[in-house]
Amino acid sequence: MNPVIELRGVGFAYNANPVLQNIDLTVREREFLGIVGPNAGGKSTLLRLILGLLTPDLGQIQVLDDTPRATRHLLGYVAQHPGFSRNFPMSVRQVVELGLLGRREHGGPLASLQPVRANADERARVAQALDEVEASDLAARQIDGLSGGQLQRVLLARALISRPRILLLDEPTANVDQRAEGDIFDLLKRLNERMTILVVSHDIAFVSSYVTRVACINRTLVCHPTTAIDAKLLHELYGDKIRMVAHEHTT
Amino acid sequence: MSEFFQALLHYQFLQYALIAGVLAAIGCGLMGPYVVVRRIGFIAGGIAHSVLGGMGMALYFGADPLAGALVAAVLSALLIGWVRLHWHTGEDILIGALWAIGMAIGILFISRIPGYQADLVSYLFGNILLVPERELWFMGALDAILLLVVLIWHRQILAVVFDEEYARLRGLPVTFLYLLLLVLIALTVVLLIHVVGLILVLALLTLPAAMAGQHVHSVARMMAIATLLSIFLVVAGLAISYGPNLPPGPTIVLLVGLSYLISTLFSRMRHRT
Repeated sequence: MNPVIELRGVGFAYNANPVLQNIDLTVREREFLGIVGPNAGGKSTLLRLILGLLTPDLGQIQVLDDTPRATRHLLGYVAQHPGFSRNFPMSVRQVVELGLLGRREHGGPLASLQPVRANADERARVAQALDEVEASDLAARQIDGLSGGQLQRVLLARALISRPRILLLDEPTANVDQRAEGDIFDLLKRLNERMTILVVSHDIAFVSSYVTRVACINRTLVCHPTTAIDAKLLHELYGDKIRMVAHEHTT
Repeated sequence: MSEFFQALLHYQFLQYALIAGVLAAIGCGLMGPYVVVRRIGFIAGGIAHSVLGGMGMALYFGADPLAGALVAAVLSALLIGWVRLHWHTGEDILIGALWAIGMAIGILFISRIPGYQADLVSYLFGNILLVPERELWFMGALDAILLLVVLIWHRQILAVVFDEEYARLRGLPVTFLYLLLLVLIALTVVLLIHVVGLILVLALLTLPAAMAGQHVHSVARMMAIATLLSIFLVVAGLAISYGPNLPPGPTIVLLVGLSYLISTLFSRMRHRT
Protein backbone atom coordinates (compact mmCIF):
# COMPACT_ATOMS: atom_id res chain seq x y z
CA MET A 1 0.00 0.00 0.00
CA ASN A 2 1.17 3.57 -0.77
CA PRO A 3 2.25 5.82 2.09
CA VAL A 4 -0.35 8.57 2.67
CA ILE A 5 1.34 10.29 5.64
CA GLU A 6 5.08 10.64 6.12
CA LEU A 7 6.89 12.38 8.97
CA ARG A 8 10.69 12.63 8.91
CA GLY A 9 12.66 13.91 11.92
CA VAL A 10 9.74 16.06 13.12
CA GLY A 11 10.22 18.13 16.25
CA PHE A 12 7.83 20.60 17.87
CA ALA A 13 7.92 22.74 21.01
CA TYR A 14 5.37 25.01 22.70
CA ASN A 15 7.30 28.08 23.91
CA ALA A 16 10.62 26.23 24.10
CA ASN A 17 9.02 23.25 25.90
CA PRO A 18 9.68 20.29 23.62
CA VAL A 19 6.57 18.21 23.00
CA LEU A 20 7.73 16.03 20.11
CA GLN A 21 11.29 15.08 19.21
CA ASN A 22 12.68 13.36 16.14
CA ILE A 23 9.41 11.73 15.07
CA ASP A 24 9.54 9.37 12.10
CA LEU A 25 6.26 7.86 11.01
CA THR A 26 4.88 6.38 7.81
CA VAL A 27 1.18 5.63 7.56
CA ARG A 28 0.04 3.55 4.59
CA GLU A 29 -3.26 3.63 2.74
CA ARG A 30 -6.14 1.86 4.54
CA GLU A 31 -4.09 1.51 7.71
CA PHE A 32 -5.90 1.82 11.06
CA LEU A 33 -3.34 3.37 13.37
CA GLY A 34 -3.92 3.80 17.09
CA ILE A 35 -1.93 6.56 18.81
CA VAL A 36 -1.54 6.04 22.54
CA GLY A 37 0.54 7.54 25.31
CA PRO A 38 0.39 9.46 28.58
CA ASN A 39 -1.25 12.89 29.01
CA ALA A 40 0.85 15.71 27.52
CA GLY A 41 2.82 13.08 25.60
CA GLY A 42 2.17 14.86 22.28
CA LYS A 43 -0.69 12.76 20.82
CA SER A 44 -2.99 15.67 19.93
CA THR A 45 -0.03 17.79 18.80
CA LEU A 46 0.92 15.05 16.34
CA LEU A 47 -2.59 15.12 14.82
CA ARG A 48 -2.55 18.93 14.62
CA LEU A 49 0.81 18.82 12.82
CA ILE A 50 -0.56 16.32 10.29
CA LEU A 51 -3.60 18.58 9.77
CA GLY A 52 -1.39 21.62 9.18
CA LEU A 53 -2.87 23.47 12.16
CA LEU A 54 0.66 23.60 13.63
CA THR A 55 3.97 23.90 11.79
CA PRO A 56 6.89 21.69 12.87
CA ASP A 57 10.03 23.38 14.20
CA LEU A 58 12.15 20.61 12.68
CA GLY A 59 11.69 17.94 10.03
CA GLN A 60 9.19 17.45 7.23
CA ILE A 61 5.61 16.27 6.94
CA GLN A 62 3.95 15.08 3.74
CA VAL A 63 0.30 14.20 3.50
CA LEU A 64 -0.97 12.68 0.24
CA ASP A 65 2.32 13.71 -1.42
CA ASP A 66 1.94 17.39 -0.54
CA THR A 67 2.17 19.76 2.44
CA PRO A 68 -0.42 19.32 5.20
CA ARG A 69 -1.90 22.77 4.50
CA ALA A 70 -2.40 21.99 0.82
CA THR A 71 -4.18 18.71 1.46
CA ARG A 72 -6.04 19.19 4.73
CA HIS A 73 -9.37 19.65 2.97
CA LEU A 74 -9.00 16.00 1.93
CA LEU A 75 -8.84 14.92 5.56
CA GLY A 76 -11.69 14.38 8.00
CA TYR A 77 -11.13 15.41 11.62
CA VAL A 78 -13.02 14.88 14.85
CA ALA A 79 -11.50 16.97 17.65
CA GLN A 80 -11.46 15.95 21.29
CA HIS A 81 -12.93 19.30 22.33
CA PRO A 82 -15.22 20.72 19.64
CA GLY A 83 -14.49 24.36 18.87
CA PHE A 84 -18.09 25.51 19.33
CA SER A 85 -20.45 26.36 22.12
CA ARG A 86 -22.92 23.56 22.91
CA ASN A 87 -25.79 26.05 23.10
CA PHE A 88 -25.20 27.40 19.59
CA PRO A 89 -28.61 27.58 17.86
CA MET A 90 -28.06 24.89 15.27
CA SER A 91 -29.63 21.56 14.40
CA VAL A 92 -27.72 18.33 13.78
CA ARG A 93 -28.61 18.53 10.08
CA GLN A 94 -27.13 22.04 9.80
CA VAL A 95 -23.91 20.97 11.57
CA VAL A 96 -23.41 18.10 9.13
CA GLU A 97 -24.22 20.37 6.15
CA LEU A 98 -21.32 22.65 7.13
CA GLY A 99 -18.98 19.73 6.38
CA LEU A 100 -19.91 20.16 2.70
CA LEU A 101 -18.44 23.65 2.58
CA GLY A 102 -14.86 24.36 1.67
CA ARG A 103 -12.45 23.32 -1.02
CA ARG A 104 -13.25 20.47 -3.34
CA GLU A 105 -10.65 17.95 -4.42
CA HIS A 106 -10.07 19.76 -7.72
CA GLY A 107 -11.05 23.33 -6.76
CA GLY A 108 -8.90 26.27 -5.73
CA PRO A 109 -9.33 28.23 -2.46
CA LEU A 110 -11.74 30.71 -4.07
CA ALA A 111 -14.12 27.88 -5.02
CA SER A 112 -15.10 27.71 -1.35
CA LEU A 113 -16.58 31.22 -1.64
CA GLN A 114 -19.08 30.26 -4.32
CA PRO A 115 -22.65 30.79 -3.09
CA VAL A 116 -24.25 27.57 -1.86
CA ARG A 117 -27.92 26.71 -1.80
CA ALA A 118 -29.48 23.63 -0.26
CA ASN A 119 -30.39 21.17 -3.01
CA ALA A 120 -31.60 17.59 -3.29
CA ASP A 121 -28.09 16.18 -3.74
CA GLU A 122 -26.89 17.96 -0.61
CA ARG A 123 -29.86 16.77 1.43
CA ALA A 124 -29.24 13.21 0.24
CA ARG A 125 -25.58 13.39 1.26
CA VAL A 126 -26.49 14.70 4.72
CA ALA A 127 -29.01 11.87 5.14
CA GLN A 128 -26.44 9.32 3.95
CA ALA A 129 -23.73 10.61 6.34
CA LEU A 130 -26.12 10.53 9.30
CA ASP A 131 -27.33 7.09 8.29
CA GLU A 132 -23.77 5.78 8.14
CA VAL A 133 -23.11 6.81 11.74
CA GLU A 134 -26.57 5.53 12.76
CA ALA A 135 -27.77 8.98 13.75
CA SER A 136 -30.59 9.58 11.25
CA ASP A 137 -33.09 10.00 14.08
CA LEU A 138 -31.09 12.94 15.42
CA ALA A 139 -31.27 15.06 12.23
CA ALA A 140 -33.82 17.58 13.51
CA ARG A 141 -32.48 17.76 17.07
CA GLN A 142 -30.65 20.82 18.43
CA ILE A 143 -27.00 20.14 19.33
CA ASP A 144 -27.43 21.35 22.92
CA GLY A 145 -29.64 18.37 23.75
CA LEU A 146 -27.25 15.64 22.57
CA SER A 147 -25.37 13.21 24.79
CA GLY A 148 -21.58 12.84 24.48
CA GLY A 149 -21.90 9.73 22.30
CA GLN A 150 -24.56 11.30 20.07
CA LEU A 151 -22.44 14.40 19.53
CA GLN A 152 -19.43 12.27 18.56
CA ARG A 153 -21.53 10.51 15.92
CA VAL A 154 -22.73 13.85 14.55
CA LEU A 155 -19.17 15.18 14.36
CA LEU A 156 -18.13 11.97 12.65
CA ALA A 157 -20.93 12.49 10.11
CA ARG A 158 -19.68 16.07 9.55
CA ALA A 159 -16.22 14.67 8.86
CA LEU A 160 -17.48 11.88 6.57
CA ILE A 161 -19.76 14.03 4.41
CA SER A 162 -16.76 15.60 2.66
CA ARG A 163 -15.64 12.07 1.63
CA PRO A 164 -12.19 12.28 3.24
CA ARG A 165 -9.30 10.04 2.23
CA ILE A 166 -7.88 10.02 5.74
CA LEU A 167 -9.86 10.26 8.97
CA LEU A 168 -8.21 11.59 12.15
CA LEU A 169 -9.96 11.29 15.50
CA ASP A 170 -8.71 12.71 18.79
CA GLU A 171 -10.07 10.75 21.77
CA PRO A 172 -13.41 10.08 20.07
CA THR A 173 -14.67 8.10 23.05
CA ALA A 174 -13.41 10.30 25.90
CA ASN A 175 -16.91 11.40 26.94
CA VAL A 176 -18.95 8.31 26.14
CA ASP A 177 -19.88 5.20 28.08
CA GLN A 178 -18.29 1.79 27.42
CA ARG A 179 -21.09 0.50 25.20
CA ALA A 180 -21.05 3.58 23.00
CA GLU A 181 -17.26 3.30 22.87
CA GLY A 182 -17.54 -0.18 21.34
CA ASP A 183 -20.19 1.02 18.87
CA ILE A 184 -17.99 3.91 17.70
CA PHE A 185 -14.94 1.66 17.22
CA ASP A 186 -17.06 -0.91 15.34
CA LEU A 187 -18.13 1.91 13.06
CA LEU A 188 -14.51 3.03 12.56
CA LYS A 189 -13.55 -0.53 11.70
CA ARG A 190 -16.18 -0.53 8.94
CA LEU A 191 -15.02 2.87 7.66
CA ASN A 192 -11.44 1.55 7.56
CA GLU A 193 -12.46 -0.64 4.63
CA ARG A 194 -12.43 2.50 2.45
CA MET A 195 -10.19 5.05 4.23
CA THR A 196 -7.05 5.40 6.35
CA ILE A 197 -7.79 6.07 10.00
CA LEU A 198 -5.64 7.54 12.77
CA VAL A 199 -7.20 7.50 16.21
CA VAL A 200 -5.80 8.95 19.43
CA SER A 201 -6.97 7.03 22.47
CA HIS A 202 -6.22 6.89 26.16
CA ASP A 203 -7.40 3.27 26.30
CA ILE A 204 -4.51 1.20 24.96
CA ALA A 205 -6.13 -2.15 25.82
CA PHE A 206 -9.37 -1.26 24.06
CA VAL A 207 -7.84 0.32 20.98
CA SER A 208 -5.43 -2.60 20.49
CA SER A 209 -8.26 -4.94 19.59
CA TYR A 210 -9.35 -2.75 16.67
CA VAL A 211 -6.29 -1.15 15.11
CA THR A 212 -3.65 -2.74 12.90
CA ARG A 213 -0.71 -0.94 14.52
CA VAL A 214 -0.14 1.10 17.66
CA ALA A 215 2.03 4.23 17.77
CA CYS A 216 3.22 4.75 21.33
CA ILE A 217 4.09 8.39 21.87
CA ASN A 218 5.67 10.15 24.80
CA ARG A 219 7.68 12.96 23.21
CA THR A 220 9.31 10.33 20.96
CA LEU A 221 7.38 7.77 18.95
CA VAL A 222 7.72 4.01 18.53
CA CYS A 223 5.31 1.88 16.50
CA HIS A 224 4.35 -1.65 17.49
CA PRO A 225 2.09 -4.31 16.07
CA THR A 226 -0.89 -4.75 18.37
CA THR A 227 0.29 -8.21 19.42
CA ALA A 228 3.47 -6.72 20.90
CA ILE A 229 1.70 -4.64 23.57
CA ASP A 230 2.82 -6.07 26.91
CA ALA A 231 3.55 -4.86 30.44
CA LYS A 232 7.21 -4.12 29.70
CA LEU A 233 6.29 -1.88 26.76
CA LEU A 234 3.66 -0.04 28.79
CA HIS A 235 6.19 0.53 31.55
CA GLU A 236 8.64 2.03 29.05
CA LEU A 237 5.93 4.25 27.60
CA TYR A 238 4.30 5.59 30.76
CA GLY A 239 7.49 5.51 32.89
CA ASP A 240 5.76 4.27 36.02
CA LYS A 241 4.63 1.03 37.57
CA ILE A 242 1.91 -0.24 35.27
CA ARG A 243 -0.24 -3.26 35.92
CA MET A 244 -1.56 -4.87 32.77
CA VAL A 245 -4.98 -6.50 32.94
CA ALA A 246 -5.97 -8.64 29.97
CA HIS A 247 -9.54 -8.14 28.68
CA GLU A 248 -11.50 -10.31 26.34
CA HIS A 249 -13.41 -8.31 23.74
CA THR A 250 -16.45 -9.83 22.15
CA THR A 251 -16.29 -7.85 18.93
CA MET B 1 -48.59 57.51 20.32
CA SER B 2 -51.53 58.43 18.07
CA GLU B 3 -50.18 61.99 18.13
CA PHE B 4 -47.02 60.69 16.48
CA PHE B 5 -48.82 58.86 13.70
CA GLN B 6 -50.98 61.93 12.96
CA ALA B 7 -47.90 64.15 12.86
CA LEU B 8 -46.21 61.60 10.62
CA LEU B 9 -48.61 62.51 7.82
CA HIS B 10 -47.63 66.17 7.97
CA TYR B 11 -43.96 66.46 8.92
CA GLN B 12 -41.23 65.35 6.55
CA PHE B 13 -38.59 65.15 9.30
CA LEU B 14 -40.72 62.53 11.08
CA GLN B 15 -41.11 60.53 7.86
CA TYR B 16 -37.33 60.63 7.39
CA ALA B 17 -36.88 59.57 11.03
CA LEU B 18 -39.20 56.62 10.52
CA ILE B 19 -37.38 55.52 7.35
CA ALA B 20 -33.99 55.91 9.10
CA GLY B 21 -35.24 53.82 12.02
CA VAL B 22 -36.45 51.03 9.73
CA LEU B 23 -33.20 51.04 7.73
CA ALA B 24 -31.12 50.87 10.91
CA ALA B 25 -33.34 48.10 12.29
CA ILE B 26 -32.76 45.98 9.16
CA GLY B 27 -28.99 46.22 9.73
CA CYS B 28 -29.42 45.25 13.39
CA GLY B 29 -31.59 42.29 12.51
CA LEU B 30 -29.09 40.96 9.98
CA MET B 31 -25.89 41.45 11.96
CA GLY B 32 -27.11 41.14 15.55
CA PRO B 33 -27.49 37.32 15.47
CA TYR B 34 -23.86 36.86 14.36
CA VAL B 35 -22.72 39.14 17.23
CA VAL B 36 -24.86 37.26 19.75
CA VAL B 37 -24.02 33.66 18.76
CA ARG B 38 -20.29 34.40 18.29
CA ARG B 39 -20.33 36.39 21.57
CA ILE B 40 -18.45 39.36 20.15
CA GLY B 41 -20.51 42.11 21.77
CA PHE B 42 -17.34 43.58 23.27
CA ILE B 43 -15.74 43.79 19.82
CA ALA B 44 -18.84 45.53 18.47
CA GLY B 45 -18.70 47.96 21.42
CA GLY B 46 -15.03 48.69 20.70
CA ILE B 47 -15.77 49.41 17.05
CA ALA B 48 -18.73 51.63 17.97
CA HIS B 49 -16.83 53.80 20.41
CA SER B 50 -13.74 54.17 18.24
CA VAL B 51 -15.98 55.73 15.59
CA LEU B 52 -16.10 59.04 17.48
CA GLY B 53 -12.40 59.56 16.68
CA GLY B 54 -13.15 59.40 12.95
CA MET B 55 -16.19 61.66 13.25
CA GLY B 56 -14.31 64.27 15.31
CA MET B 57 -11.40 64.35 12.86
CA ALA B 58 -13.73 64.59 9.85
CA LEU B 59 -15.62 67.51 11.44
CA TYR B 60 -12.38 69.31 12.33
CA PHE B 61 -11.03 69.02 8.80
CA GLY B 62 -14.36 70.01 7.25
CA ALA B 63 -15.26 66.58 5.87
CA ASP B 64 -18.54 64.64 6.20
CA PRO B 65 -18.64 63.19 9.76
CA LEU B 66 -20.45 60.09 8.51
CA ALA B 67 -17.58 59.38 6.09
CA GLY B 68 -15.16 59.80 9.02
CA ALA B 69 -17.28 57.38 11.06
CA LEU B 70 -17.26 54.85 8.24
CA VAL B 71 -13.48 54.97 7.81
CA ALA B 72 -12.83 54.76 11.58
CA ALA B 73 -15.28 51.86 12.03
CA VAL B 74 -13.81 49.81 9.17
CA LEU B 75 -10.21 50.49 10.26
CA SER B 76 -10.86 49.49 13.87
CA ALA B 77 -12.77 46.38 12.74
CA LEU B 78 -9.81 45.30 10.59
CA LEU B 79 -7.29 46.05 13.36
CA ILE B 80 -9.26 44.16 16.03
CA GLY B 81 -9.85 41.25 13.66
CA TRP B 82 -6.21 41.01 12.65
CA VAL B 83 -5.04 41.00 16.29
CA ARG B 84 -7.69 38.45 17.22
CA LEU B 85 -6.63 36.09 14.42
CA HIS B 86 -2.85 36.47 14.59
CA TRP B 87 -1.81 37.50 18.10
CA HIS B 88 -4.22 35.22 20.00
CA THR B 89 -3.59 37.26 23.17
CA GLY B 90 -4.15 40.84 24.19
CA GLU B 91 -7.33 41.20 22.12
CA ASP B 92 -9.35 42.51 25.07
CA ILE B 93 -6.69 45.10 25.91
CA LEU B 94 -6.60 46.33 22.32
CA ILE B 95 -10.40 46.62 22.16
CA GLY B 96 -10.45 48.51 25.46
CA ALA B 97 -7.70 50.82 24.19
CA LEU B 98 -9.48 51.50 20.87
CA TRP B 99 -12.71 52.08 22.79
CA ALA B 100 -11.20 54.77 25.04
CA ILE B 101 -8.64 56.29 22.65
CA GLY B 102 -11.18 56.63 19.83
CA MET B 103 -13.55 58.54 22.10
CA ALA B 104 -10.74 60.71 23.49
CA ILE B 105 -9.57 61.67 19.98
CA GLY B 106 -13.14 62.47 18.95
CA ILE B 107 -13.86 64.64 21.98
CA LEU B 108 -10.55 66.53 21.60
CA PHE B 109 -11.17 67.33 17.93
CA ILE B 110 -14.81 68.30 18.52
CA SER B 111 -13.79 70.54 21.44
CA ARG B 112 -11.58 72.58 19.05
CA ILE B 113 -14.55 73.43 16.81
CA PRO B 114 -16.58 76.43 18.09
CA GLY B 115 -20.30 75.78 18.39
CA TYR B 116 -20.12 72.04 17.83
CA GLN B 117 -20.66 70.96 21.44
CA ALA B 118 -24.33 70.19 20.80
CA ASP B 119 -23.33 67.81 18.01
CA LEU B 120 -21.24 65.80 20.44
CA VAL B 121 -24.36 64.86 22.39
CA SER B 122 -26.21 63.87 19.23
CA TYR B 123 -23.33 61.61 18.13
CA LEU B 124 -23.14 59.98 21.55
CA PHE B 125 -26.88 59.46 22.04
CA GLY B 126 -28.26 59.81 18.52
CA ASN B 127 -30.79 62.17 17.04
CA ILE B 128 -33.01 60.38 14.61
CA LEU B 129 -35.14 63.48 14.08
CA LEU B 130 -32.30 65.27 12.29
CA VAL B 131 -31.51 62.71 9.59
CA PRO B 132 -31.25 64.48 6.19
CA GLU B 133 -32.53 62.86 3.00
CA ARG B 134 -29.08 62.17 1.50
CA GLU B 135 -28.17 60.11 4.59
CA LEU B 136 -31.23 57.95 4.05
CA TRP B 137 -29.76 56.98 0.67
CA PHE B 138 -26.44 56.29 2.36
CA MET B 139 -28.16 54.09 4.97
CA GLY B 140 -30.11 52.30 2.25
CA ALA B 141 -26.87 51.57 0.40
CA LEU B 142 -25.28 50.14 3.57
CA ASP B 143 -28.33 47.93 4.11
CA ALA B 144 -28.11 46.72 0.51
CA ILE B 145 -24.44 45.75 1.05
CA LEU B 146 -25.28 43.88 4.27
CA LEU B 147 -28.18 42.04 2.66
CA LEU B 148 -26.20 41.10 -0.44
CA VAL B 149 -23.26 39.71 1.55
CA VAL B 150 -25.56 37.73 3.85
CA LEU B 151 -27.47 36.30 0.88
CA ILE B 152 -24.25 35.21 -0.86
CA TRP B 153 -22.06 34.07 2.03
CA HIS B 154 -24.31 33.33 5.01
CA ARG B 155 -23.30 29.67 5.20
CA GLN B 156 -19.60 30.38 4.90
CA ILE B 157 -19.80 33.10 7.57
CA LEU B 158 -21.90 30.78 9.74
CA ALA B 159 -19.25 28.04 9.42
CA VAL B 160 -16.58 30.44 10.70
CA VAL B 161 -18.82 31.80 13.47
CA PHE B 162 -19.76 28.25 14.56
CA ASP B 163 -16.39 26.45 14.47
CA GLU B 164 -13.46 28.49 13.21
CA GLU B 165 -10.91 25.67 13.35
CA TYR B 166 -13.08 23.26 11.38
CA ALA B 167 -13.81 25.96 8.78
CA ARG B 168 -10.05 26.42 8.39
CA LEU B 169 -9.58 22.67 7.94
CA ARG B 170 -12.21 22.60 5.23
CA GLY B 171 -10.16 25.15 3.31
CA LEU B 172 -12.48 28.12 3.83
CA PRO B 173 -10.70 31.52 3.81
CA VAL B 174 -11.31 32.08 7.52
CA THR B 175 -9.28 35.31 7.79
CA PHE B 176 -11.21 36.91 4.92
CA LEU B 177 -14.60 35.79 6.23
CA TYR B 178 -13.91 36.84 9.83
CA LEU B 179 -12.64 40.29 8.79
CA LEU B 180 -15.62 40.62 6.42
CA LEU B 181 -17.96 39.90 9.34
CA LEU B 182 -16.31 42.56 11.50
CA VAL B 183 -16.47 45.09 8.64
CA LEU B 184 -20.20 44.34 8.22
CA ILE B 185 -20.66 44.92 11.95
CA ALA B 186 -18.76 48.21 11.55
CA LEU B 187 -21.18 49.24 8.79
CA THR B 188 -24.11 48.41 11.05
CA VAL B 189 -22.63 50.57 13.81
CA VAL B 190 -22.47 53.50 11.37
CA LEU B 191 -26.09 52.79 10.39
CA LEU B 192 -27.13 53.09 14.02
CA ILE B 193 -25.29 56.30 14.90
CA HIS B 194 -28.19 58.60 14.02
CA VAL B 195 -30.79 56.39 15.64
CA VAL B 196 -29.35 55.68 19.09
CA GLY B 197 -25.83 57.17 19.04
CA LEU B 198 -22.47 55.54 19.70
CA ILE B 199 -22.98 54.87 23.39
CA LEU B 200 -26.27 53.02 22.94
CA VAL B 201 -25.46 51.11 19.74
CA LEU B 202 -24.63 47.89 21.55
CA ALA B 203 -28.15 47.54 23.01
CA LEU B 204 -29.85 47.68 19.63
CA LEU B 205 -27.23 45.47 17.99
CA THR B 206 -27.49 42.66 20.53
CA LEU B 207 -30.77 42.67 22.47
CA PRO B 208 -33.30 42.09 19.63
CA ALA B 209 -31.10 39.22 18.35
CA ALA B 210 -30.77 37.81 21.87
CA MET B 211 -34.58 37.97 22.26
CA ALA B 212 -35.00 36.14 18.95
CA GLY B 213 -32.49 33.51 20.11
CA GLN B 214 -34.66 32.79 23.15
CA HIS B 215 -37.53 31.67 20.95
CA VAL B 216 -36.10 30.26 17.68
CA HIS B 217 -33.24 27.85 17.07
CA SER B 218 -31.44 28.81 13.90
CA VAL B 219 -29.37 31.85 13.00
CA ALA B 220 -31.39 32.50 9.82
CA ARG B 221 -34.65 32.55 11.81
CA MET B 222 -32.98 34.74 14.43
CA MET B 223 -32.25 37.23 11.64
CA ALA B 224 -35.87 37.31 10.48
CA ILE B 225 -37.31 37.69 13.99
CA ALA B 226 -34.64 40.19 15.11
CA THR B 227 -35.29 42.36 12.03
CA LEU B 228 -39.05 42.46 12.68
CA LEU B 229 -38.52 43.07 16.40
CA SER B 230 -36.01 45.84 15.75
CA ILE B 231 -38.35 47.59 13.30
CA PHE B 232 -41.23 47.36 15.77
CA LEU B 233 -39.17 48.58 18.75
CA VAL B 234 -37.51 51.47 16.91
CA VAL B 235 -40.85 52.73 15.52
CA ALA B 236 -42.58 52.25 18.89
CA GLY B 237 -39.74 54.02 20.74
CA LEU B 238 -39.89 56.91 18.28
CA ALA B 239 -43.66 57.19 18.69
CA ILE B 240 -43.50 57.04 22.51
CA SER B 241 -40.81 59.73 22.65
CA TYR B 242 -42.68 62.15 20.36
CA GLY B 243 -45.59 63.23 22.64
CA PRO B 244 -43.64 64.08 25.83
CA ASN B 245 -40.69 65.36 23.70
CA LEU B 246 -38.21 62.79 25.09
CA PRO B 247 -34.90 62.10 23.33
CA PRO B 248 -35.73 59.24 20.88
CA GLY B 249 -32.41 57.30 21.18
CA PRO B 250 -32.54 56.61 24.93
CA THR B 251 -36.32 55.98 24.72
CA ILE B 252 -35.79 53.33 22.05
CA VAL B 253 -32.98 51.69 24.05
CA LEU B 254 -35.08 51.63 27.24
CA LEU B 255 -37.94 50.03 25.34
CA VAL B 256 -35.54 47.44 23.86
CA GLY B 257 -34.11 46.73 27.34
CA LEU B 258 -37.57 46.34 28.87
CA SER B 259 -38.65 44.01 26.06
CA TYR B 260 -35.52 41.90 26.59
CA LEU B 261 -36.33 41.59 30.29
CA ILE B 262 -39.90 40.47 29.57
CA SER B 263 -38.74 38.05 26.86
CA THR B 264 -36.17 36.53 29.23
CA LEU B 265 -38.83 36.02 31.92
CA PHE B 266 -41.16 34.36 29.38
CA SER B 267 -38.36 32.16 28.11
CA ARG B 268 -37.42 31.01 31.62
CA MET B 269 -41.04 30.31 32.56
CA ARG B 270 -41.50 28.28 29.38
CA HIS B 271 -38.42 26.17 30.10
CA ARG B 272 -39.57 25.46 33.66
CA THR B 273 -42.98 24.18 32.57
